[in-house]
This record gives sequence, structure tokens and C-alpha cells, in this order.
Amino acid sequence: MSRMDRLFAPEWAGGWTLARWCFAFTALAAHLPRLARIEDAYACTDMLFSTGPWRLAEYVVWTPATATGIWVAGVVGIVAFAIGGRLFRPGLALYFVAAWALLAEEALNVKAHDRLALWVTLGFFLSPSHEQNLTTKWRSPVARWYLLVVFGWLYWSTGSLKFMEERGWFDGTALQYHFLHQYHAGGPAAVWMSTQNGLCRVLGWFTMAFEMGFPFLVLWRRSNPWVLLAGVAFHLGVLALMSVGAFSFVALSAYPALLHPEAARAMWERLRPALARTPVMRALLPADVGASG
Amino acid sequence: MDPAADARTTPPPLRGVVLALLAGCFAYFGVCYHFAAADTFPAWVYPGQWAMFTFKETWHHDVIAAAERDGQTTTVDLPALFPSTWDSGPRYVRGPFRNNPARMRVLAYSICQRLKPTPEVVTLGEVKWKARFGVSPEVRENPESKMRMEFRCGSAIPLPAGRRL
Repeated sequence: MSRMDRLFAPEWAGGWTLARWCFAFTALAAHLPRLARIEDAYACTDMLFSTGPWRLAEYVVWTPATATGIWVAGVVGIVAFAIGGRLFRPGLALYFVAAWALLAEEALNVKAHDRLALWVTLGFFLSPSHEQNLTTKWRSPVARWYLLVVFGWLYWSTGSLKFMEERGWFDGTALQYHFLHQYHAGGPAAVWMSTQNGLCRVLGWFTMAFEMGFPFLVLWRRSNPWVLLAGVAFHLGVLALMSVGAFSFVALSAYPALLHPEAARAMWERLRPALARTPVMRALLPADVGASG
Repeated sequence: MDPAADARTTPPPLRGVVLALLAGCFAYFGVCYHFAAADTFPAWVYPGQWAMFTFKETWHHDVIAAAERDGQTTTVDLPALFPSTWDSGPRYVRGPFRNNPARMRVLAYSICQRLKPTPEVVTLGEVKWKARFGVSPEVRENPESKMRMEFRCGSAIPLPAGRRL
């Protein structure tokens, strides 16, 4: 077997099924609220902007009816890719075009989670997520490598910038102030957290260690599940105390595909007998829960 | 099974292309990272930038507006006029918006369009108050206000990108 053959050896693909469902939920959570903003933001004729590479408003201004149609197309796309099979890639493409037809029109509020969803969507195009019974299949590792590149740079960038640019991340004050952010935080629990310097100092160090360690620790079989577990804790903490839109969901939706395939398969084999007894899983994945890996 | 003929993975003729594309993707994010802490950067790096919550923000901000008609000045309820909010709040409160006169002019123009009856003059200002640990950001302690601009309704303005409203 050549080096290239070893590199491209197929790996267990079961994680992509869960990733597909999680991403469909995430896409719905991000896309559904856009309906309420159509007349004020996505199809208005006064507050028009273009920024960065998002220049759509310079060429076309949607009418409310057109923007609503685009929004509906996005929902249809999400449902189609959630169903999977032959509908997966057309659905993903429809969602992708519809979501960006609205985001590029409004332009000013293209968030980090919108951009991350863009990169994750491209990863799904490369993935075998359109196939059924993936827990019984082995497929190309390319889509997972791609997500490793995206998430490796994502976490490294944000973590190392905190480390290098802001001393407040070392003494806890950066996080204390972030918990007071007018819109991203400011709830009762976050306001209380802003008074806890010791706790914020520990969480600040944890954040930098997790974000800067992720690109390296995610690569090894032994450390991979642990760094992803730290990531789940990190994103759930952000979800509980802060308001960052769909960011936590977008990031976590890719985790099943980022989990080392052999670790994921071992987990699946442990869980499969219990899952086989649940009517929901027997209905959703009859061949998967019934078959041996 | 011959590994090179394994249909479950990437076919051998495509493997070099795939690795080149992944290397290109890696390099792109590297360039984006290079510009991450810069004040100005090319537009094409924006989709790959991940500077999030890097710097602490010690002040809270809000934009305030007043409309003048027939010599009477009234406060404009901006959240009612521009109801959309994102996780970062209304767009007009964001720093890159309120610190950009071209964008603020568009906001003033839009207030003229949306407010009925149409005012003659719209003034925009900013209020800021210091963040204090343990105090909700909704509590405006010792707020500092300053006027940012006055806009006469009916004026045609260029959008930040050059298009005219």
C-alpha cells in the first residue's frame, strides 16, 4: 500500500449522519428568525449598505415579496438536506443560495456564525452525508480534513489573538467586561459573573488554552475526544451566559464529524444496543441500529 | 482489495487536486489570520477572519436621535423605527456604524423616510456610560451624550459604497 493509499484510507463515516441532523437544526435556528427582519433589513430601500465582500445591495434590492420567497426557499432547502438521500445536495445548495441572498443584501450583520456556517456548508458538500446507513460505511477522510483546517484556524485565530493582544484575558477583566456586554450578554447570571474575578480569570485561561490547543489536540486519537468535550463545555457555557446567535450551534454541529472516526465508532458500538431499543432511532435509522459495524 | 481501486475513498487521479485545494484553504486562512489584528484589510479576507471578543469593552453605547418639524423637536424612538436586532443589537449601535459618518447619514436619511409626518431636520447623537462590574448594562450611570450630526431631510445622499439614495 502506497503512502497516498494509506493517507486516503477510508474511515468510519457514521458521524456525518448526526452532523447532518445537527446542522439542519442549526440552519433552522439561524434562518427562521430572518423572516421577521425582511421589511426592515433584507428588503428595505433606505438602510442599504454593502460591506466587505458582500456587495449584493449595490446591484439589486429585494422587494419584500421576493425576499420572503427567498426565505421560504431557504427553509425548503434545509428540510431537503435534513431528509438526506438524493435531496441532500440540492437542498444544501438551495439553503446556501437563499441564506446568502439575504445576508449579502443586509451585509452589515454578517456574523461570525454566518461565516462559519458558510465554511461548514462547503464541508457538507464534500461529505458523504447524502448517503443512508452511514454507520455501516467507510468513506473518504477529505471532508473531515477540511473541517479540521477550518476549525483549527478558527480556534487558533481567536485564541492566539486574545493571548497576544489583550492582557485582560490573563487577569480576568476581559471576560468580566464581556459578561456585561449590552447585547451579547448582560443577563442576571452574566452580570453576577462579572463580579467574580477569580472565576473569570480561570475561565479566561481555559478559553485561551482550549482555543490555542484545539488545532493540535484534535489531530490525535487519544486527545481528540477530550478536546472536543472541552469544546462542548466551552460552547454550552457561552450559550448559557452569552448571546452569540447560532454560533454555539454551528460549531457544535460539526463536532460529530470532527470526532476521530475510530473513537466515534467505538462510542456508536457502545450506544447502539440501547439506541436499538428506542422507537425513534428504530424509525430514523432502522438499518444502522440493527446492523453490526 | 487493491487500495488504489477502493471505491469508498477519493479516486487516485483526484487525490493530488484534493490535497492542493486543502493546502490552498489552509493558506487562505493563514493570510486571513495575518490581517486579523490589522485596522484595514482587503475585503476578500473577511469571510475567513475569526477575531472574536478579543478586546475588552469598558463602555456601553447607544445612538440617540431627534426630529425637528415646525420648530418642535421630538425624540425619535429608534428601536420602534428600526425594530430588527441581532445578537450584537441594532445595527446602528455597532461601533463600525456609529463611528462612520457616511453610515450615520444613511440612518438619518432613513429616519426621514420612515417617520410620518416627515421631519425637516434629523439630529443624531451618541450616549455612552461606563460599564461597572455587577451592574446591568441597562442601568445608565452618569451617561455622557454628544451630538454627532444634523441632517436636512430631502437631501440626496451617496451610500457608503457610492450608490445614491
